[in-house]
Amino acid sequence: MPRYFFHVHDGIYSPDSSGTVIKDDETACQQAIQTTGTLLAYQKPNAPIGRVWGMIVVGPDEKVICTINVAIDRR
Amino acid sequence: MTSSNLMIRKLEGFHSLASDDQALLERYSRPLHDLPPKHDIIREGDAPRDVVLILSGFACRYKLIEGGKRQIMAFLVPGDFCDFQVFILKRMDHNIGTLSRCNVVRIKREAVLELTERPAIARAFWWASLVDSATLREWLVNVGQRAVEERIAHLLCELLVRLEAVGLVKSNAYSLPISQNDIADALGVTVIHANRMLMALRDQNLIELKARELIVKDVGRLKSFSGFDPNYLHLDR
Repeated sequence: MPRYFFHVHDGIYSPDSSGTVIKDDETACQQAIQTTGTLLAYQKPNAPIGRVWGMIVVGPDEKVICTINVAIDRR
Repeated sequence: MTSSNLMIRKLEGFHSLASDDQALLERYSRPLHDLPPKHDIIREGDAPRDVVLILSGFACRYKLIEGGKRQIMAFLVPGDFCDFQVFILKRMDHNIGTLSRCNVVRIKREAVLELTERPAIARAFWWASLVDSATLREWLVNVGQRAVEERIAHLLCELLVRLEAVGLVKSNAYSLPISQNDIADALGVTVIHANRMLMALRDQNLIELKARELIVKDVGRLKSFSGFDPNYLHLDR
């Protein structure tokens, strides 16, 4: 099964160096969306929040499979 | 002297067992069955007949929901029973399966009844059963309230203490023959999230993972990070 890498940028770039084996692109995207939800839900209250929170999913052959961007507008 | 039998070591976490009690437990600790990884020991809906004792490897209790999602409700480690009173029930309400290769013993219903006629063994079995329930309560708190990074740290502390109790920890390192998928399914998160959090614990120099071995680099810091209090394991005899 292919290995996918889920790099996160939340003000600080946090690359995924080990990756995760997942059966296909579609499942990798679904898991990325679900993970975005829980990563955001369980951020520590004082965690630094950038203006854009993003996840980039990179699949086999370094192909970008999907990107997820969450915009946080403080007014 | 510490017994080489992991069931006896575990039960002696509660109280010492006389030599004749130990001999009886020893007699029912064979023959060993070698089971491959990902093998169901008993499935939901099956009629339970024997009590299964894990003597090596990791197994788990789990349920599958629609769509094939799996929730792991307990990790079973060497010395653990898959419910010593389970044969009282008509049908299993969950599955028990191996996660790694396991050596198990199947103890017949008649043998369990004979064992429980010995007061010290019966009390030790009740203790083990109460600890299972307490562990399930702690898992509920863990999954319901703790941040994911803390959940994983808590689980790793729990395994450290449980495996230490049966003599399977050396220099704060233990064999962890399970996948990140297994950890994710126990903690109710995606495998990506579990992976990120394990890496975060590693980056904080709290743990090291190599070749299915987990090394706790700083036990005190990992326990305080996850709010781990071993009181629910009732190992304070």
